[in-house]
Amino acid sequence: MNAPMAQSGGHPYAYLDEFMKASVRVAVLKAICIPGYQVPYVSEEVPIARGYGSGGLQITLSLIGPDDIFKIIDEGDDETVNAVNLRRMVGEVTGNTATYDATRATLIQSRHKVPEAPLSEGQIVVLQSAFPDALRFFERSEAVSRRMHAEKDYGKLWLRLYESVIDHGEIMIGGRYPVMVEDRYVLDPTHVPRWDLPLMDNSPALFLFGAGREKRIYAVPPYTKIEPLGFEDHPFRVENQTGKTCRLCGSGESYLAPILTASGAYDWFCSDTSFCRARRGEHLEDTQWQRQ
Amino acid sequence: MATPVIRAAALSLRHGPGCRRCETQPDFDGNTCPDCGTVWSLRDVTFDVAPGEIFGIVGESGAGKSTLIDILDFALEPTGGAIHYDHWQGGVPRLHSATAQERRRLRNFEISVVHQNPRRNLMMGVSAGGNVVERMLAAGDRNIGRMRDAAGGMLDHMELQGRIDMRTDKLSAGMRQRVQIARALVNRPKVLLLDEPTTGLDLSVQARTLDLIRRVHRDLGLAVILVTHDWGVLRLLARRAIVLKSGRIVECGTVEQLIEDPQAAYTQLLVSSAL
Repeated sequence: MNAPMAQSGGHPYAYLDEFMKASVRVAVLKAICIPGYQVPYVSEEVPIARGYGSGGLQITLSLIGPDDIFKIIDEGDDETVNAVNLRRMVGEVTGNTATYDATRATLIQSRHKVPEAPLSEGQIVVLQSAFPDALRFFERSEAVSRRMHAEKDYGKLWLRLYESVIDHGEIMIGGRYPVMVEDRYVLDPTHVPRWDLPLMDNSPALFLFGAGREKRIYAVPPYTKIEPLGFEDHPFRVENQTGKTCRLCGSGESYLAPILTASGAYDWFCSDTSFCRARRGEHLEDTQWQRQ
Repeated sequence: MATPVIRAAALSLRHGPGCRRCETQPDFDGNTCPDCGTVWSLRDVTFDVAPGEIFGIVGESGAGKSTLIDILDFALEPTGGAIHYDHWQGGVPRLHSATAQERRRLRNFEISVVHQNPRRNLMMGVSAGGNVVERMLAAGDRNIGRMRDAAGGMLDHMELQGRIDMRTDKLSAGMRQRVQIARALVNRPKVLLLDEPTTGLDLSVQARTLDLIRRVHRDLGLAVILVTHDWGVLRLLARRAIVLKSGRIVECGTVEQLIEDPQAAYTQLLVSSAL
């Protein structure tokens, strides 16, 4: 993390000044120490609007070092507008190497998707979080919801699942499915599909969640138990994909996203595009960025 | 008499610094000290409730009845005195020294409250069954089938057959009150606090609710603390009662005695104005 301090283009390495990086790192360390706990931090301005991944970007820029290989994903895709622009920004302020390969990246910033490829020790996944508190659905007061977390008072959260079962016959929650971390805190895993929650359970990689607008950082350390909430007679289930395969690579073991075709039918494609490419034997070259 | 299940010893709640006059020689009427302006919402309230007893608290509006219930329900912290609860560490330490987690456990399993206003207890956007089930979820039950059976049975007991999946804000006031009672009873508490449970209900619903409370009390054998300003309700349900005025107990005794032969001038006034 000994980033070169030499000025280039009028900003320090990785754009943020050392004071801000230090404040983010302190919050990250505290979040790792208390898995699932939302650590408040000073969320300063970055050159993107709040709500567009400013929390994730602050963590990325605070943790990245000259040797890191980074990857930016937006809803599983490396090539969407948000992913391309964030990658260019991080590349231009650091001069680091960007990759498309999730297994080789040391730092992955993602929105709404955990990479399908198996992660390994030493990797960091930064997820952009819009709403850090799983209790916000029914508790407006921050003071009250903090007390509920402290007292492990999750009756109303369970009630939301119960009402869903009563209304629909099963738990109908897509994104932001509440998960219990190490039997202590309930955490909002951002809008990742239910499919991704088992990928996070006991993963060797470190997961960090940054909510820039709400000024919270929370974490799932490596090898931590992640338990999506569910009932004995209505357990947690991932999305039902029986009979569906990716149109491009034929995969049925990855999360599939629908695309509406001209005929009105749905085609299904891997949400994780680099995973899909790797299965088809395609390979995209790394980008070595020049620091501006 | 059996060991009391709940004992209030010299409970006081005051707002203000207090002075020598109001702390030692409270010779004034009302609850505001004329010297220092301290308001005594409750002052030296002492009573005990036996297991399986229905205990009444009577008094006019502003006498401190609901304040007393809020203290027994941990919503308020008393400034003086203590509550001893038989089922918590043998009734020895002050109940209000319990930690937040212990209080939540007590509120889940031991002491339940039914408020005059159902909105204080019920979530209006949630089904009637959900409001009952929430107590069981908080207590750690994770089986929907089992919880629905228990909640449904409790709602049937409250004459709310077929209303389990109805949203609470679609129910009438009397039904909401009964949902509240079902929610209060589902974890089988030892003490039930009823704060004016029938006020604002029409007479036939009132009679049915009272009948229900009596039946539940007989079936479950719990201790009930009943706050009311209605002598008829009191006579129907309670055996013993205290009369509160300006936060102080002016008289205590059996309900019969309070109605037939009131000693304190204030009780006489209350009884005569009711009849």
